[in-house]
Amino acid sequence: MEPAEELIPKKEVLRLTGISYGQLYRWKRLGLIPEAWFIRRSTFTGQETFFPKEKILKRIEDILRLKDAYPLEELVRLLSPEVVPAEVAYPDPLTLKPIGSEGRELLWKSGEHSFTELVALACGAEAIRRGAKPGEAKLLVEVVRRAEEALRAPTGLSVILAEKTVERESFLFKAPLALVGREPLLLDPECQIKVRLDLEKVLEEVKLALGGEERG
Amino acid sequence: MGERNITISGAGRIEGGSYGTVKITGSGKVVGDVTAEEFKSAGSAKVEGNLRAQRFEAAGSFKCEGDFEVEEGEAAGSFKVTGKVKAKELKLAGSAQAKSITGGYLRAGGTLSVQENVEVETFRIIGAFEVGGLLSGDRVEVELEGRACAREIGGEKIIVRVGQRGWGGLFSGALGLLFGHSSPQELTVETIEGDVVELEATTARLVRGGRVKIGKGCRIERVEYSESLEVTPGAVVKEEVRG
Repeated sequence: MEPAEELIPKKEVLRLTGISYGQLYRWKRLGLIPEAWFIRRSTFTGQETFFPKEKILKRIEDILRLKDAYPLEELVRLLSPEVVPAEVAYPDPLTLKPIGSEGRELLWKSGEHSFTELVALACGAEAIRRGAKPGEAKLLVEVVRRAEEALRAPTGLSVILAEKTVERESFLFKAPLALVGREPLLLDPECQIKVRLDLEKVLEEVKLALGGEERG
Repeated sequence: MGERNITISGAGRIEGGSYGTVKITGSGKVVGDVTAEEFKSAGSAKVEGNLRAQRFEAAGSFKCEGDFEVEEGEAAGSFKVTGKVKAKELKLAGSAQAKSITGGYLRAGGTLSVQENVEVETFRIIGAFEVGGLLSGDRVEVELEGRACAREIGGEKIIVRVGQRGWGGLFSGALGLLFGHSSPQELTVETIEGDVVELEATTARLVRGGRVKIGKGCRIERVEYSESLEVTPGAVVKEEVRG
């Protein structure tokens, strides 16, 4: 099992990134930093705000990198996972970085792909990069493809590829299974998790790749 | 955009829908969601649904039992919104209530009560307020006339001053009564964070900022600052930390 997400206090975020309070609150207001990432916890000095470390640092880095090239409102559309671009119709998924050549064996159709389909392919391709077999990765693609509704609020959602060992008449079978769900997820002890992906992160990567594409 | 204009004078009710101008004089009710280029009421108006308008003006009592979204709005008297308020520019005088407020410029005189967050570019208030969550803005300017509280305040520049009592004009009249001028002028908040923070009459657990001034009447448990800290003699700061 991968460890739970590491949290970082607000003050530390400012120290590490060099951004000001004004910027942090402005970006929160504009939706560039999702409300769900502001996690209030009790500490010995009282209530304190924490963030999911990896996500917030990545997000701020992205904002700082892109803020001169795009207006902030445009960045919201690009980065904020709460907005699923319904108008995406992308003909060539393998050219998107989060999918890449690993996606070749996962394609089930040609022509235009919707945003949800691209995210599904990116999940499958990433699973292959992490050692999953194409057959198993296909299972992931199938489940994410059907999770369009869940993709609208992806914070805290995981995509999991697991393997369940079943015994039948003293033969051991291994059956792959794929699921999308909100953490903490519990599986029975006969299941072994092979790949766990943070859906929100995959989604953002697809968005960024598409955004870069539109500009270029 | 709706082209129909509709006027209620005296007492009446209209169905929701899309209108050019909705004008209520006297007492009027809108049943259902309404979209209008202009919504004007004088007297008592109630919207049983969501309201969206380019321009909004209300004098007297206004109530919206849904979300409220305007480009430009002005209300004097009592303004109550059960849902969320979103406005590019909103000026409130008297007593105002909402679930949350987001937008550009918000100016209030009187009392403001918000259950959740207020997140705007500029927030200016002369009066008293209660914000259940975060009050944030690039600029937050508070002139205290009565008690104010919020869970957190954050932004670029945060200035809290004690208002000038015994002002002539507007605030010596009817609004003066709303403020309850016998109640103390003070702000209570858990945390304040800003690049520039200047406070008076504020009780807080934690103040964090770049340039911080703690003025008269303040009681702060802990101040963390990165550039400068000024504490007026008489103000209480239990702990100061630089860095």
